[in-house]
Formats: sequence, structure tokens, C-alpha cells
Amino acid sequence: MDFLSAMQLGFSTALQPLNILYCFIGVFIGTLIGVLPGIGPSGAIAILMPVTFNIPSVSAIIILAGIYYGAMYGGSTTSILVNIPGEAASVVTCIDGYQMARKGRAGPALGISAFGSFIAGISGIILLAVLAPSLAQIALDFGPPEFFSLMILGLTLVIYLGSASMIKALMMAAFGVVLGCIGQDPILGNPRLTYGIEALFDGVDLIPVIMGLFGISEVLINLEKKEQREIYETEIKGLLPTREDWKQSAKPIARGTLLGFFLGIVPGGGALLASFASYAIEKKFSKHPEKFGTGAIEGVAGPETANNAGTMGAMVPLLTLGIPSNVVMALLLAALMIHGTPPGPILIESHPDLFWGILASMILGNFLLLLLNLPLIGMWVQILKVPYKVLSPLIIMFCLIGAYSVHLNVVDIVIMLFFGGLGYLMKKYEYDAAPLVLAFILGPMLETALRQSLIVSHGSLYIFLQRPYSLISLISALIFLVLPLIPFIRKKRKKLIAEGG
Amino acid sequence: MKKNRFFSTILAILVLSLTLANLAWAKYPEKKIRLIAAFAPGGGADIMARALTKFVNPYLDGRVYVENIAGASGAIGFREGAKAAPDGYTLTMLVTTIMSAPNVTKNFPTYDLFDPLCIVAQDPTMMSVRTESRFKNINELITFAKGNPGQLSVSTAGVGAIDHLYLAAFAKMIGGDFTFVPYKGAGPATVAAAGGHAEAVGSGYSEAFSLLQGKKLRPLVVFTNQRSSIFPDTPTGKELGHDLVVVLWRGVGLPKGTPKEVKDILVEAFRKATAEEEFKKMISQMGLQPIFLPPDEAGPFLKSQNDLLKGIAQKIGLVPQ
Repeated sequence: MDFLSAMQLGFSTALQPLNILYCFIGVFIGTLIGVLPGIGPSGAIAILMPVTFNIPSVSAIIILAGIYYGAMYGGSTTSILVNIPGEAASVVTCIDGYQMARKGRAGPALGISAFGSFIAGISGIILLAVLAPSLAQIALDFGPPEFFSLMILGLTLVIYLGSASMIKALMMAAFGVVLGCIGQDPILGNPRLTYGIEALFDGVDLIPVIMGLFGISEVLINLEKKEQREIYETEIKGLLPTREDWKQSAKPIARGTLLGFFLGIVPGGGALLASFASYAIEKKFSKHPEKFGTGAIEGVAGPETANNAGTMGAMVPLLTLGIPSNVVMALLLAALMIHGTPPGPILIESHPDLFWGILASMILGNFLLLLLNLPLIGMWVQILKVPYKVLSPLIIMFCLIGAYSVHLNVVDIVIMLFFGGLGYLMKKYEYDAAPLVLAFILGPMLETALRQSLIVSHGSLYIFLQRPYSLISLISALIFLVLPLIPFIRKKRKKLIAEGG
Repeated sequence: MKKNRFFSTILAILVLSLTLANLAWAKYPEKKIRLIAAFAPGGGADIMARALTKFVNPYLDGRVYVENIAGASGAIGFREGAKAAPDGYTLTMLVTTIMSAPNVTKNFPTYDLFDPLCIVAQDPTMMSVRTESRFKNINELITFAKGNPGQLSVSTAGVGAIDHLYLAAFAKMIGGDFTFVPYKGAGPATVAAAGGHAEAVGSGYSEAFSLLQGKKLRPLVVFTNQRSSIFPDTPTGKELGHDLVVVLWRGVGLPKGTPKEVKDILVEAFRKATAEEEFKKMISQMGLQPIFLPPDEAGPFLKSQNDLLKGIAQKIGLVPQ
């Protein structure tokens, strides 16, 4: 059916009073979950799922999906306010968002985050509606070799993440890769680096690591400072982004949307890469890259937009092929199956009201989230006025609860505290945490993809060059690697010419 | 003064009588029953556990709740369930993983640590190729595999996973030699086959459900006793002369030593829950087959499946690490 009548069908479903209510409940819960560090949307969705058994399929997905993208909106709040990323996707927002908060610009940071997420959400849904069936094939075409090359491209972005010495960034990345190896060997299943500790069998979980590296370490470092004034600039400079902010953020938002959406389509981790990639690209294209890391609004606008666009992109393989890209998508898949509407190639034709109803409801949800989050900015900013000696124990308490809530396992708390201490040392000696996190996430995925590809090709490395997507990714990675060298080479040439002539 | 004493005595008698009532007729269930799901929320085991809870609670005074104890591929949750007190207040969701994992991992809890309560769903296994595959039927695949050892790539849910085991057995039976490419679970494995990154994949019917329905995957052979009503044109392994029947299952287990009275109450509750039309419909919509096997049937079924899988694992040389 054509686009207009499809949208009509969708909105007629989404705007039924009950569905509007479900949408609101979903995004509200999602925002709360996103703000609380540690507890993620997957837990909430799993617990609420039985509640949705008795309501129609559309309504169930409306509420569950609402939790998911609602959490994406809320996740940046703690990243900006207190440097605690609620989940992997919010890590990058910490880098510049928190610095903006320290300079009294928490309001604009939160604001541009909300607006960027909104723009990304709406654009993502439109892209989803228009391109979904054609994009489905891309998701299928992404096999181990393509994945490997994409991860290589991702890792080269490490170069752009570090602010200080390149050597230090690479050291942290290497450490991240080793950390990622802890756990079961992805191909053979034997435990690696677990030292017999059963809790490490599944590997070190990401959430405690990032909460420790960013959140706890920040509290520890701040305890060294004598006065509150040195941590947060007490004069709050406005609550919303200024025109200047908008001017600077426009292009990052546009780039972030496209980047995030298309990366999100890649099943199994594309969306995670989106925020890191956006940050790296914004830094590369910026006229003042040295400002990144001290509170550049582009460093918030781009990644946050990419995040939300990635969420929509992740829906493509789910709705069109039934392939979940992450845990939350798997839950949505389960919910759809339990309701007797398994997603897949026939979903759009056999249940158009379901497909378009979900899309229309997501548009509604994004509006609701903007309405929810903007007024809250004023409230959040007040939190920063609380004396740090009261705020810091509260931060630690929330972190402890959050870390425990991931698996209800005390080991996660120990891991978080360990990385808190480590992060503190890293900050003191100026080692960046972002490359570590990126490598920690990408390393295992890269290893798995490499080994799977080599099994298929019987050991031949040519497989990476034979497939088009893979070749493109590898060439791009090479370009990104070589790019920083060009000015260096130019200088050397000039020097040689000057000396020779 | 006298009036006060009178009233307080009456009050004391009333309060005491309440406690006496609790002591005298202690009837199961009187406190909350936890159903352990040894995996993270969202997985098949978890969804089944939540669905079961919804349907069985009316028969057990609403006492049942799901507790996720994830970790170590289920080892932590299974172990917790096996060593719990055998008073009927701890149930464990059991899935076929408990039979495949011990072959690959040392000290993984085995199914015989549990007293089986019932099997509630089954999932027939099959081998599929993508719709555009060059193999039009199973015989073409067999011919190719025999003539080109190691050239047929098959995606699996992981090393030592059940599909790896029965496809390895199948390969031996037909005299072929597959190259197994391990993925992280049945989901990615089926998607890889559908995308052409592997030539074939083994899976339960429910695991390939949406891809099969969406015509991205085509079944070549089913490993069941008779042909599936959903794929009437797909031959069984038995018809081809290879006697291989493997069934994925989901059930509930109790710690060993649970008293018979408690067990009987539970069996009845689950029997009634799984007999409900709503439940059967929900199970079928997930691609599973509803079935109810009480303890005396579940026990032998589990043993035969376990021995089959263990035998295959040993034959292909899997050593627990």
C-alpha cells in the first residue's frame, strides 16, 4: 500500500486512547529506567512482559518499545550530570557532556541531547518506514567477514577518541581487548582468563566496568578537590541550548542520524558503534578538535543523535526479518511471537496494522518524550546545586545498586569498585577510558568474526577482500588510519624541499 | 481493671487461635514458590517460565514467581535449583542445554541432579538451507557432502551445542564430513544460513520459525519419528535410512528427595495449566509443540535423550574443558 494510506492506518491504530496510554506508560517507565544507572530496559521489559500477554499485540509492542527508546532518552541524563553512563551507548556522552555540566552548561547539554534524540527518532522512523524492506537484505548480507571489517573500521576510530598521547590511547585499547577475552572462548567454549572463578565464566560485564571507570572514579578524583566550586560551576548558564549551540550542532545531528541509523541495521552491535563513530567523526570534521573533551556541544549532539537513530535502525532487522540485534530486540521478538505475530518477511503484508501501528506509535512516543524531558531539565539542573559532600555518597549508592541490579550478583559490585579505583589512577595519569571501553566491546566481536570467517574460508585471508561490504570497510579503515599522517608527511616534504633547494 | 483484663484475655485467645490455625493445617503451598530460570530475561527458557507461571498460578494460589539466575551458560542457576531444599518451594526450568553443556564444560550440572516433574513443550529438530540454495532436496546435499569432504559449511549454535551434536552424528551416518561454523546461539546461526554465509543449519523448528515462514529458509530433513504436518514434503531421517531422532524440550525439575504429596500437587497443577487452550495456543505460536509428560514418562525420555547426545559427543571427540 502507498505511504500515505499506510500512515493513516498506523495512526488510526496508534491514536486509540488505550494505545496512547500504553505509549505514555512505556516511555515514562523507559525514561526512569534510563536515568537510573545500571538497571537497563531489558530487565524492565522482561518483568512487564507477562502483563502484556492479555492485551493485543500492537499495544504490547507499543509499551515495550516505548520503554526501550525512552531509556535511550533518559540514559544521557546521568552521563551529563554526574559522569555515570547508564549503559554502553551513553559512554561517549560522558566525555563532553559532563564537562559542559561542570561549566554550568548542563541545561544546554541536556537540551541538545533531548532535541537531537527527538530529531533522530522521527527521522529514523521515517527512514524505517520508507526503506525497511530494501534494507532487510543488507542485514542478511552481513556475515562474519563483513562484520570483521566493520569492527576493524571501528577500532581505527580509537585514534580519534583519545585526547592526550596516542600511545596511551593504544595501550588502553590493548588492555580493553585483553579484558574482552575473559570468559568463554567464543568458538571452542573453554574458559579463558577466568582463574577458576565461575562468575567470570561469562566474561566481565560491561555495565559495572563503565560505571566504575567513569562514575566511581570521577567521585574519587573529586574528593581530592577542596571546594564544591571546583567541581561544578555554581552559576547555571541558561537552561536551553542557545542559537550558537544550535548552529554548531546542526551538522553533527544530521550526520549522527544517518550514521546511527545505518550502523544500527547491522545485527549484533552496530548501534553500539554508532555513538563512538559519531564522536570520532565530529572530532575529525570539527574546526576546533582540541575543544573536544572540554565541553564541545558537538560531542554531545552527534553521539546522542546517533544513539537514537541506531535504535530505529535496529528495528529494521527485527521487524523485517525477525533478527534481533541486541537483548532488547530479542525480548520484543519473544513478545511478538507469544502474541502469534512472529516478525519476519511477511509481517508487513500479513499484519500491516501491527507494523504501521508500531511506527506511528513511535512517532507519538518521541513527541511525548520531548514533552517529558524538556521540563525535567530544570529539575535535573537543580541537583547539581546540592553540596558535593551530600551528592557524592548518593552517587556511590546509586552506582552500587545499579551494578548489583545487572545480574543480582555481588561480583559485579566488586568489578565496579575495582574499575573505579583503576579509573581513578587512569585519570590521575591522563589515560583515557574511552578507548578501553571501545576495544572492550569490539574486541570479542572482532575475534569471533575473524575466526568464523577463517573457518568458512578454510584459513584463507582473501575472504575479507572478496566481499564488497568487507572490502569497503577495510579500505575506509585504511583511509582513516592514513589521514592523520598526511599533514605530517607534508611538513616533512616541505622541510626536505627547503633543505635541499 | 477487671474489664481490661477480660478484654485482653479475649484478644490474646483470638490472636493465638489465628496462629494455631496456621500450624494445624499446614497445606502446600503456603509460601512463595520460586521457579528458577537459569538464563537472562528474554531467552526461550525465561519466556516459557513466565508463560507457565501465568497459567499455573491459578492452581497454586498464585504463589509461583520467576527468579532469573543467569550466568555460566546456565550452570549457576541449574546448580542453585538442584541443591535447594526439597520442600517443593524451588522449581527449576529445565531446557535441553543441560544435556549438551556437560559435554563441553567441566563441572556443569547434569540433568540427573534433578527429579523431573514434567516436560511441557517439545521442539522437533531439522536441517534447513536457504531458499535459493543449490540443494533442491536432501539427497543432493548428501551426494555433495560425500563427494566433497569438508566443503559443506554448516552453522551451529556453538561448539557442543545440540545442533552441532546431531548434525555431526548425521554427517557420520551419511558418510560425509561437514565444516561446522560456530555462532552464538541458534538465532545468529539460522540468520547466517539464511544470508548464505553457511550452506545449511540445524535447529529446532521454533528457532527457525520466522525465517521458515518468511520463506528465507527451506527445510531439507526432519529428525523425528514421522513427518511433520507443517512440512509434509520434508522426509524424516528415518525414511532415508538414518535412524536419528532428536527432540529439544522444555520442562520443570525438582530437587531430589521432594516428598510425594508435594510432587503430586505440582504435577496436577502443571497438567491442568498445560491443558488449557490458551496455553497450547501460545506455545504453538512460538513454534513449539505442546505436550505434557508426567514424571514417570519424563524420566525415561530424558535419560534416552541424554544418553544419545552424550554418545555422539564422545564419538566426535568432545572433551569437557
